[in-house]
Amino acid sequence: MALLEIRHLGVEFPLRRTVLKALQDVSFALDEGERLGIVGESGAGKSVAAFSIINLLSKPGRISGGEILFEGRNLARMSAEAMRAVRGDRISMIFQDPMMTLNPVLTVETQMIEVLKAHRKIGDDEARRIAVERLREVAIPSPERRLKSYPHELSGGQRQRVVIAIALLTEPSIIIADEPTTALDVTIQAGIMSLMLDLCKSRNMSLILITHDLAVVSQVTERVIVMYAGRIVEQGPTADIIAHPRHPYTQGLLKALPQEGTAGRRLNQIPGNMPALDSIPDGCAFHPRCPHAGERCQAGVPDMVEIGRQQCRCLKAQELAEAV
Amino acid sequence: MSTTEAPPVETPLVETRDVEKLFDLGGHFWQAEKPIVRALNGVSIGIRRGETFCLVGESGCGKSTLARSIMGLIDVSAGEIYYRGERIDDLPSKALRPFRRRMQMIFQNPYASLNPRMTIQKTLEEPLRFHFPDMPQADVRDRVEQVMTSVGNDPSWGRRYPHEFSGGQRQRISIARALMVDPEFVVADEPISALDVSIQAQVLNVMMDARDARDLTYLFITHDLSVVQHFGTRVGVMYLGALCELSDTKKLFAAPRHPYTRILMQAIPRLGSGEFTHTPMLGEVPTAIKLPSGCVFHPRCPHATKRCTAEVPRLRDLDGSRVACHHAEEIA
Repeated sequence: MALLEIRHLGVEFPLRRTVLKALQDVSFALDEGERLGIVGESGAGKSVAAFSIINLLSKPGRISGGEILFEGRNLARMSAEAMRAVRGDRISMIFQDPMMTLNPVLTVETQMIEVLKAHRKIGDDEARRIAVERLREVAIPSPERRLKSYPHELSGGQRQRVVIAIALLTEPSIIIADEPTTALDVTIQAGIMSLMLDLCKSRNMSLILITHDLAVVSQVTERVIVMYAGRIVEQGPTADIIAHPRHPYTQGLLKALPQEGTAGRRLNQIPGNMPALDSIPDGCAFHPRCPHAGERCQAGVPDMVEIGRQQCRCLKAQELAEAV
Repeated sequence: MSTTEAPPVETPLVETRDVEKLFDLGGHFWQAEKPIVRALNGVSIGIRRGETFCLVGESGCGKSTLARSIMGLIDVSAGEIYYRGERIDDLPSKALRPFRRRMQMIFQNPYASLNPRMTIQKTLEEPLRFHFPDMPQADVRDRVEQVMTSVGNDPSWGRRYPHEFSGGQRQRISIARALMVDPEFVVADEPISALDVSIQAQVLNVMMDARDARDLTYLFITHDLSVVQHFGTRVGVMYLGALCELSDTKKLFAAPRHPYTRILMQAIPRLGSGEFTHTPMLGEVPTAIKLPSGCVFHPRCPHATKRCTAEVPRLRDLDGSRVACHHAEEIA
């Protein structure tokens, strides 16, 4: 059985006049120790999907339907109280900006001990010992001394390492990382990403990595979900999707990337922009930008079809796959 | 529109010679040693006509400072800047005006670089009115329409305001603004890093088309090496205010010579190249306030020797590239 299973999840934001549907019919599963990537452009709903798992949707957002099953319990129906015991304990989260996560007026030590004491019956000395151990694990030099530091005394990469150490304190079974390296330089990104990869493997921990960077996803995750306008348009093994994207949107995204061999040539571009949530087109949301769109595509939202080990929400996927 | 004679082939279009820039951080009056950021430490580059010169490096390496110095947006502390062989860094602002027409800039954040209170039409007309005050209104309008169409924008956007547009559209408006006065040289400072992947391709294509149609020379600043590989003719790699390697794009990607360039190349995520493997850099990210002695990269370099801690390496020729490393031969 999957560790985390999401079934037909819907999230909406009721506004004064309309209701924005941020997520529609999102279903996926995460196995123990599996590394899953969620990619998409801004506004595709990838962060909303992650936030809804740990019930961190900001108001007026609410789960409008579906189930989030974790260790046999439905997180979507859980009380705030019960959720607090899961969040930060069994499921931890890492955000894009470490300065947003860390309290600027508290030392690293205070913040780490606080987390441990909130979730465990534990003494200060024992908590401190665990904190040092975790800092060492994320390759922070001289961790005993670093405990006494304030966040501003650390570099950007160090801060993100501290955030990861805090996420690891309670030995969670899932870490959700929302663009954890977007604000960092490439050499630091490489360090953080290989660290997270090692940690997931050594602890058999599951990872949900949210990013817009397909290259990062391809180097970290085993499976990937591609989102567009609040829906999953394609999912499957990362290597398969990178090699043979089935949905025209995924195909367009991959072809839009500058790479070895594209030098000097025009890049493939997807015309137009992703629709705003209040003006999602009828039928397949991608049809106005799709080079293969036909009349059928405007009629109704396509179902997920299976092609090999991939699932793809496109009426013409089978046709397109055979045409290649 | 350019009427000036073509310079002899050897003269680079834009050249910097040993440019230095120090930023005074103030500090307290009782501090014996006032904190000074050494943003640029003797950077010399020559940008040839018609090429796309890319500057890469991580945040704080001075790539934007160099671009802004070239554009005359900040004054350099030492060194010289030449445009078509004429020195421009010491010119008073009035004498600089004709150069300003020929050099234009595109900024990173299209949300901050367009005036929210001006219609697109007004934004685009402004550079023309400044540089060609006598141009008849009809010509101004024609020109706006022509440039807008050439970058794939609908000319009817003119009546609207920046907030009505998406990031990619705004960046295309910024490009149009830069092209209004028919420049020869365009500096683009991270023009696509604030945009989504599919939009990045649109903007890069527009920039490439403009280059081909108008014979532009670009100085393109980015931290994204895959964009450099796609777009650039030559590349300068910067680290902590100094140039460590300058080379043809193909050569740099085929055979990086400087140890920092190698680490940088290894760190770029690539599609389908297997899991991240990473050789961590030694030490910590240094600040430009207290620069390391000798080669600024030595505390983090796996090949550093005693010589590197004492002697600043100069850029020198090596197999057609230019490298600032004492040990570049041995490393290869």
